[in-house]
Amino acid sequence: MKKYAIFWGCMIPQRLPSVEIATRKVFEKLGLEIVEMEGYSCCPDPIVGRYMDRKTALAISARNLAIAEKKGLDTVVLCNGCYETLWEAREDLEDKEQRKEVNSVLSKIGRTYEGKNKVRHIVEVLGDDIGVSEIKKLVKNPIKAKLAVHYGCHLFRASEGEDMWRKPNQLTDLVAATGAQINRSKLDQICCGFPTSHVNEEYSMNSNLMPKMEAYQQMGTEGVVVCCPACNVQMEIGQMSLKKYGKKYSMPVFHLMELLALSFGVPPKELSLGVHRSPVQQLAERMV
Amino acid sequence: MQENQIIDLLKKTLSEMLLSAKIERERKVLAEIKPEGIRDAASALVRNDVRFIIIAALDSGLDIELLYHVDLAGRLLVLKTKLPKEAPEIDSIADIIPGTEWAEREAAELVGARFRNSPNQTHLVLKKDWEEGKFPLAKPFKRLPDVVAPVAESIATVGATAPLTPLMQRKREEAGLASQPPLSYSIESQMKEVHQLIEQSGFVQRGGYDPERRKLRGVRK
Amino acid sequence: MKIEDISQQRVLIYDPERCTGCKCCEMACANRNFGTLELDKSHIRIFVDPKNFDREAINCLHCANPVCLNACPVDAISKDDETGWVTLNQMKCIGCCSCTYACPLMAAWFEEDRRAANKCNFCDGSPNCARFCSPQAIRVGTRAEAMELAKRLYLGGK
Repeated sequence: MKKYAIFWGCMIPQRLPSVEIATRKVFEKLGLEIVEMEGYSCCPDPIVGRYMDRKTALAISARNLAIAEKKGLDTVVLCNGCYETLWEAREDLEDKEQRKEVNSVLSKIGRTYEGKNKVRHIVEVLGDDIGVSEIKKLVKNPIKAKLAVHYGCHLFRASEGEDMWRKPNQLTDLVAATGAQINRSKLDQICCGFPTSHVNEEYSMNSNLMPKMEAYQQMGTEGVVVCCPACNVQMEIGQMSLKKYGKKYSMPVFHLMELLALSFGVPPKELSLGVHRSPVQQLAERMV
Repeated sequence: MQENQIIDLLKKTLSEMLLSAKIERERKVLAEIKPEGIRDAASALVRNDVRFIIIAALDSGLDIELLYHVDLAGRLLVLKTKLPKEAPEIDSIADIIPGTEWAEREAAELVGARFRNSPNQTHLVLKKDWEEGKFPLAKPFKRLPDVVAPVAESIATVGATAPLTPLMQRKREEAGLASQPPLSYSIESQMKEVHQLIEQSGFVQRGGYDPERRKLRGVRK
Repeated sequence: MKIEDISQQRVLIYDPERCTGCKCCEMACANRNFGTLELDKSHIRIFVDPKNFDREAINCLHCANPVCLNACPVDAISKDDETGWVTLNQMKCIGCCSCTYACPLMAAWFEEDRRAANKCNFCDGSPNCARFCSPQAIRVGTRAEAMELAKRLYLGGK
């Protein structure tokens, strides 16, 4: 049984526990074991971590990576924000000087980080280790819905020489494997507006979320699949705040793991989809 | 008086009030002292034929820095002291070195340092009807941008972007999950480790984090 | 060392096809140069077309022969001999806005608070916008690379 150290992040356990349930069910069906990273902390959030204090943020990230390294496993993340932070931290810690400095702080709490493990997005793990064809075999209830795929900006982070479309294409393939019809368009790439919503909510709504929702509606999209809880929350909370500006949308937005769980035959009731702020529950009952 | 002698004199008179002292270059000594030690330092210096030059007052965001420049027979001594902006107070030394009175009044007016027992507290450089409590050279009392600060504070205290709400705990239980996720706040020893890490990583000095109050220093809108 | 071959100067290269319009670059720039995250205070601006979702950026190209430099009446703008970066000295600036009108992109802009113009300073060689761009839509490269990309994007590869 293959083992994976899952880094849940803050958003999933605290705001979207349905994703956590779905991931556990999907891993069970795929015959994979989840190893808990006990005592992990916030990754920290890419916006906050960049601007709070670089050295502190790097030390926090290094501690999280060290927890997985101690277990001899790669860190698997379900969130684009965590992916960006931990990827960036790992890249910075390749530099010996920086690693030495961080280790001098980590040694005071009895940890070290050697940079031996990798940071991997769940999309990569499912696409590379399991394979789309394997996923296809497990699909019991093919999804009957027109879905759009939202990648999220940080999914495009690629190592040097790596194609930035590798992970986004894997995500599209995974969604297609569930039998869903995919509405592809240019706007899939556009950001949900989460980073700017901290600073100027109105601007972020007008420039990113509203045009996206408008276009989804025109294309007859029934739901949006994301692979990041931050995008998910932003698109749901954003729809609620768009009401302030006289725009009403009710576009269900949900995580890739929830889609996979539904297609693998997990009944929608078991996923506790009620935690979503968009009509995901109704869509789930309709599309399987 | 030689540079080494100046440092020895400061060590003798101030003992633990002296935080650091070094010869920055030839004929210049830079020493950092606690604000409480300023009167002892001034008394000791005045016995050694000191000539007072100026108090340079700087606002570094979270603290007001006062740099007392004095001349000891051709050698420059800079006494640096930091007043936290929560209570930017220091004893006046105008009764020991009368020349400092104007410099103190200037620092008080421009950046808002408060001098206890100052003999004269009227305006010196600003106009008479200047608004009370407004300081032209003061900077905002914060280190991190307002958008970042609340989340950074939360990361430093609970190790997550936000604490887990009782409502979500209940929802997790209803969904058949453990009520507490394996985040550091669920495990006491791990939470302690995160707190230690935050303090050791220099967030207290660079980010202005107050580990006792578990809050970031400064005021936010 | 003096830059003889202008095509080898390091500049910011923006590729709209990679851009997601998240504006992380604007926040990175505002934080580095002004200590805030307000998007108005950024030397790089990203625009997303709400209909076709085309992206475009406005950022200083650190021109070979900068018009802003030539327009400045008090020589506040200078071009570095070694690196080729065009920088503005706010202490010399008189706030006449000539540079903001001269630049076809308005890469130099008028800063109301300081009553002086301001522009991209290339962050001393490691631009924060390029560092924090996840899809690497904005990155540092030579002018030759930038020209090649521009030809492919706007002249259809001719």
